[in-house]
Amino acid sequence: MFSDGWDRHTVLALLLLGLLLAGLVFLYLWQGAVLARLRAERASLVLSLAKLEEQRLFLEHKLRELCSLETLSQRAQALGMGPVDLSRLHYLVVPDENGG
Amino acid sequence: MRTAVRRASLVFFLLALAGLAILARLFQLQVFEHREWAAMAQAIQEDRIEIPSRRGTIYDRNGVPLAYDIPAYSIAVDNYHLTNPELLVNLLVKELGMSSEEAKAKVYRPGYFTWLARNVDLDVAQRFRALAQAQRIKGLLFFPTWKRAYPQGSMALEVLGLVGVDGDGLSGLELAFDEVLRGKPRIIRILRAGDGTPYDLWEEDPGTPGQDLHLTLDSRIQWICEAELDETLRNSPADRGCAVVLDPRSGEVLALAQSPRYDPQNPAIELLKPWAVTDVFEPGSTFKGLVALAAWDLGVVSETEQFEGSSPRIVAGVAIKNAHNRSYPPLTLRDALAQSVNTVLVQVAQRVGAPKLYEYLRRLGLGELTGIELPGEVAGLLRPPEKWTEVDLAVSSFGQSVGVTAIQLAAAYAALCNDGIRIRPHLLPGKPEVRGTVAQPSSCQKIREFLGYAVNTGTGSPAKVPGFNVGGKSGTAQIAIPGRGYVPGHVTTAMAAFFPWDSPQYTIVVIYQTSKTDDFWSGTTAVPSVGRIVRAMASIGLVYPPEITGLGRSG
Repeated sequence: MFSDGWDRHTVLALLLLGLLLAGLVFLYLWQGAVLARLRAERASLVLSLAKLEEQRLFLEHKLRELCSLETLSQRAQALGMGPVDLSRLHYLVVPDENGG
Repeated sequence: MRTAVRRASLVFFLLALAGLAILARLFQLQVFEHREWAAMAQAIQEDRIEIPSRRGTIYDRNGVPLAYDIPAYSIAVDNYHLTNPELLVNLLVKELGMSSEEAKAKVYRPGYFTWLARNVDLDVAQRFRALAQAQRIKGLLFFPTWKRAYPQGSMALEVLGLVGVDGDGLSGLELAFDEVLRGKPRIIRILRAGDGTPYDLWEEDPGTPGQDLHLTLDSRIQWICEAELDETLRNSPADRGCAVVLDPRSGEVLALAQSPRYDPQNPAIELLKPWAVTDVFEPGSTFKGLVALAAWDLGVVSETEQFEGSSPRIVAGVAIKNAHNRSYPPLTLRDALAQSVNTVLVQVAQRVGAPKLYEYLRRLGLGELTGIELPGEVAGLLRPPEKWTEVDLAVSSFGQSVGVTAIQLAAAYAALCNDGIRIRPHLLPGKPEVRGTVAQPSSCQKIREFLGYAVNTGTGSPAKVPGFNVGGKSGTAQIAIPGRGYVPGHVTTAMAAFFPWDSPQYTIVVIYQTSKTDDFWSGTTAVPSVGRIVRAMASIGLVYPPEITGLGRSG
């Protein structure tokens, strides 16, 4: 089937070709593995970001509840504050830049 | 050597054959049967997650959020794959506050899917999940979702409305603007490894978030009104109260408050109705200001003319009385308004006549929808003049035989404040929408002056706030119940006011109703409420006395 005419050069050429192919396959697989790892990292980061955003929105809401007018009013009352007596309210007219 | 080459060739040939067989199989799997296998792999490895879009936020005029979506979780169970059901029952009772019976009914229900709880707060859901994992409970499903939150508590809930568990607007502005507020869900796909670790994620559909809604309401004025109504309900026999504050120049609704209000912690569905818009009442003597406007604009009364103030006055055989059947010496229209003398206003209405009075009342927007952007608004009751009897004309002068909503009364007084130009009251910002001209500016100015006098010296004096020139007209009226007529103990008190009367910036209407006693008067309920609302607005710097407003900042 194979002739004896296969000389060293041919065998060397075949070996080099085989090595080249193996190298290309390795590069392909390595690149694929790196891409897969990066994709997985990205997916994980996107999901973490979504969780953090959830927490942010939730905490922002809690903060707003604590700063609501009703809550502030109750806290002010607890601290002994009461409604303003208008007779004790004095208005100061501050002149503008033109003296008006 | 030759034998060795032959053997090597044979091995190479066999290996090549095996390689070809593998290639052929790969070709079959990846080319011919690609679709089936890809679908199978997708079903095993891929999650398709539909994340409901975040509903638009509702803001007040200053950008204070009144209603928005916060993240939440809906929790379900796959009953067939559930482990440790008895622990799950305990967890539901302890963490989600379920009764033991309810928890057992859900947990032991045969089925692949049972909702355990919808729209659970994020912190509660996270704790629940951690505890379930620690107790090795398997078969639970957690779905991210949104939950409507109200950072200002129950403030203006009847205006804002509610959203159902599926994110649909059910009432109020949430219902009226459901299409605007709702968005399109976002769809993502996650590729997972065998242990569930995600190793790829992509967006199939970015979705669209709902659009925000900016209102004309001012949360500070809204809060002031609600606090005032709550306080009056605590200290009087009033069953309920409502307050409307308008900017008469633009028609912007700055507050639309009521008490009692819907409480998300203790829901009573009937309180979701903004009754300032949906319920009709007889306006009582607050109507006198509008009748006087028609008369002045037609020129059938003058400033110095004196009217007879004796009580009762007989009209078509019916005795019409003043409050407490009190008689007055002859008095001018200004004094009659200040003292709220029914028998004088009857004479004024008779001079105007039914057709003209009806025409003015229609121009003021009574008997028709104001067009405020809230569902369920009613048009009130204003019969055509051909159906009015002499008595109807007479009693309409002090607000009987007609029915108005609080928003109608506020809009009508806003027209008086806006020199006769009626503007549609609105909750969404925009250009003022003129609905017609009611009367001449000079007539409006004169009636405002009379009503300023009424607050300075007359029945409206509990609304007086020194330096703020409040004007307005109070009213107390029995409530007519369909089929029963005027029922003892059922009373409406009202105050329609504005300030400063010479160039009004605010129109305020306050209404209270009771079903407990006849001893219920505007002078001790609605009128002082207006005064306290103005004081509160002044005390937090929302408004300034007119002489300061000209120089400084106005609210």
